[in-house]
Amino acid sequence: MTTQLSGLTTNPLREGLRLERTPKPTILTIFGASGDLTVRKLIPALYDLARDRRLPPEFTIVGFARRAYSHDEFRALMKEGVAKYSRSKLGNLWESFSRGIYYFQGDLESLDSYKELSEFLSKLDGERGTLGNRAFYLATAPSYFKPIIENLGAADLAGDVRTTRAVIEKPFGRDLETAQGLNKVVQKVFQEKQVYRIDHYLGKETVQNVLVFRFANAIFEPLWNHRYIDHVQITVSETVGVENRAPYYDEAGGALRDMIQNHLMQLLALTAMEPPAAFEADTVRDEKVKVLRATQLARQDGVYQAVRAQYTDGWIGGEPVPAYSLEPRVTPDAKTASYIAAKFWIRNWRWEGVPFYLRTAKRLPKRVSEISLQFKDIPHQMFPGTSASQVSPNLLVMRIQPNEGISLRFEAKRPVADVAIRSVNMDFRYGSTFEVASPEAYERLLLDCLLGDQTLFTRADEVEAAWKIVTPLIEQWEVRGINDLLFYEAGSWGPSAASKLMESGRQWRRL
Amino acid sequence: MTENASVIALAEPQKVQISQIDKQLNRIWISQTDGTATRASTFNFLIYEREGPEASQIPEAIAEIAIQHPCRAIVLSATEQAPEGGLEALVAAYCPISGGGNPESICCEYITLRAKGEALKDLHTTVASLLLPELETFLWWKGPLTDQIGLFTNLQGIVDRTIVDSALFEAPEQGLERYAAFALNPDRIASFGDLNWARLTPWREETALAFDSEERRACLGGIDRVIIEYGQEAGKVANPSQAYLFLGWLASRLGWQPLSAHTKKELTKQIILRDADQRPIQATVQAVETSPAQSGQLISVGLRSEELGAACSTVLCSADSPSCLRVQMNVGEANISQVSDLDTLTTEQLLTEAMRSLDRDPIFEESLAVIRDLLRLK
Repeated sequence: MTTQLSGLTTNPLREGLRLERTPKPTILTIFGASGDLTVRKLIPALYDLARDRRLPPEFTIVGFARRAYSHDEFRALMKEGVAKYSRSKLGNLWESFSRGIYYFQGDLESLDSYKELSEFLSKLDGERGTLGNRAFYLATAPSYFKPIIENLGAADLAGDVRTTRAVIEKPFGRDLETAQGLNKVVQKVFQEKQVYRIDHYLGKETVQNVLVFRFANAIFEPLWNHRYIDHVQITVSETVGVENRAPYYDEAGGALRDMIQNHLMQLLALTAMEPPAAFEADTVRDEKVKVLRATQLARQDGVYQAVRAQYTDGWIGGEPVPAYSLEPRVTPDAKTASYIAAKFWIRNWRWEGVPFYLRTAKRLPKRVSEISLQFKDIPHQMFPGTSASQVSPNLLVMRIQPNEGISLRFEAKRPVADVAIRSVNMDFRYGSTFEVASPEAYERLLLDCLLGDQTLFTRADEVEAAWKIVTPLIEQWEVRGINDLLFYEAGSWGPSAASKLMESGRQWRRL
Repeated sequence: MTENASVIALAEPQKVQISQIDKQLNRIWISQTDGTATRASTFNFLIYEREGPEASQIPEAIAEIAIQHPCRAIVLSATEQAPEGGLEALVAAYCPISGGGNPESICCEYITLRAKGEALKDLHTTVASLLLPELETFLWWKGPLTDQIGLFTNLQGIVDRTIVDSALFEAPEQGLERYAAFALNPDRIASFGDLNWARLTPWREETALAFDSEERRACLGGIDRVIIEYGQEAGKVANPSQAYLFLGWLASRLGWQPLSAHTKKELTKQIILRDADQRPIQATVQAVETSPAQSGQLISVGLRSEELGAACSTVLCSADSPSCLRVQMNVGEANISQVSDLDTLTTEQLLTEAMRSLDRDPIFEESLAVIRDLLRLK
């Protein structure tokens, strides 16, 4: 018997619920499943999504790695990860969720492994009702990206836009040339619509709020340009050292590739981009590409305006910490920069003459990520007296972490007889305004990928545009071998040379 | 000074004459000379209740709301202790205590009006004079709809949103019918909510999830058997409101109309619905004996298609424990089961959710319309 409901394209029971759609039943294969990212981030994020009823019950995970694990051993490892790192902790759901987790032992560089994987996934389709929908997550060292993608293609696992997606972790390439090379490899196997290059910063609620703040409020956008803004500072500071990432960090060459080219460039793009016509993947990414193409390193007397440095021993949080060179697994005499500060110009109508200062480092006194826009000084000082003349410029700060929120500094009259002026802050804090806990960045990004929404993922041309901006520094420091590496004490705000990037009375913010 | 876990009182409740309420509140605020408590209101919050042992819980419920939104709370207390032929007013001010244990600086005003008889019925005029102007007014009707219907009706003229809890209805079918008459009145200005509807959210989400995939979505058109079980505490009146709300939701989403209803045996209702193609669907709503905690709550939902070639079935049940939901889905050979955790929201959390918006919820209203049609089938 047929009914009017037999040809439904959407689920009528979804109407009016928090989430208007859920992903199709899919098998997510994670390459590099024995690594930290899988245990600490990916599986806990997927568990939290399932806990929030955002994944279909058929959702299946296959961990692919070289080590010999049984399904149950792998599940036990993942259970530890969920217990430790998920938002919701272990609950009744674990039993049925873990039944959808499988392990596949294979060699990332062997085509045979991929052919066997293909058979295994087909078998799971029948058992789990996943209907041939696939997502492949490359959570391996970057050197494996190329063989994985080529082998997926050769094993006929690339599918099409409707059924198959590939998620690629950062870093995407080591420089412009390798990024272009990797893009060619990817695009030979997958269509761009199937590719999800992850920069987990874009999954943070507060980063997405930069767009909402700018484009859902009428009062700020008229001021958001060179006529009113003096300069912009973007800071991502960490208190942690290189931890157990030294081999990767040394190979990457430190903070330039690890942070500036991706996370900080994304923050810059969101801060400086033109309003997109709609909040859609390509419209948003088109604008980001445009602004990145207009961005360039500042140069003075033929020298690029950037400072790099490495931490020496010092104190963090009342504890002594070793110098970078003495951290475990660090390459002896590595010239790796754990601190980068650089000045950029955006050569377009909106931002001409407004410097963008970017800095990021490990072992700074505080863990802070923020974007601050300092407005220009008032054109004329009308209030008499010394205290009145010390008027501070207005400052808008978007805090990414911690204490996520937005604050606006403005001047106010102190309640005394004379005209005495003092800076005050107007604060909005996510934590106290919205009681709902923000989902982890990986939850949002994994869900978007499974739903086929590429808005928060980096497109091929965007990655290349970001590499192009930092290429002069790579050439200066690595190709021409200019040794200008400075040192800073762990727990300090970095080398004093960074302040020379500032001019006209500007200063790095004391956070 | 009165205190509980989440509020601290700035002054003990004091009896005052109605005309002195605002003056007394002003006195309380003026007495806070250290400036740590700030008077603020973002809406008017009316709470109707029958005064009883649970009446003391009101400040805590308000505190939960006030932590996010400062308000002027006016409690309309139906009590035989009220003075003959008149009413009694008490005023106080409370500051919610934040998670850190410190009183918030933004504090709530709290007015209690105790009345009975005609004075209670006509309380709306007194309430209207106490509302802060230009602010939205919410009414939380914390009781059944069988008594004080006059006051309920009169209050509709001064409130923007009315929230009931159909789990508290003492004559549930009659209460739902009355409530539907208000909430679906074409001339209504205010919007309506039901905490029992909010409790259904995880069940609705889980049911929707069971039919998200293309293959299982096709089963929706073949469902011809629905069995809904709800909890009943031994010796107490059964309250099928939540079960009806679920059936109303399912029917309204799938385009089913109730055709006939009869009581098969005590506490089991057999309902025949038909879809847009005139295909019959048999629904059973039945009570099962449970603990007091699960009384009135959904216990299980079974959705089946018994047509040849459409062997689909989905069972959702909370039988394992009140805090989890087991979903069992069969489509042909494939068999998927999942156990999910159910978040049990407190009344205060449900209330906060129901007060997030003044907008009407069309899905709720459509569900209620099916229940109204169903209850009209005698």
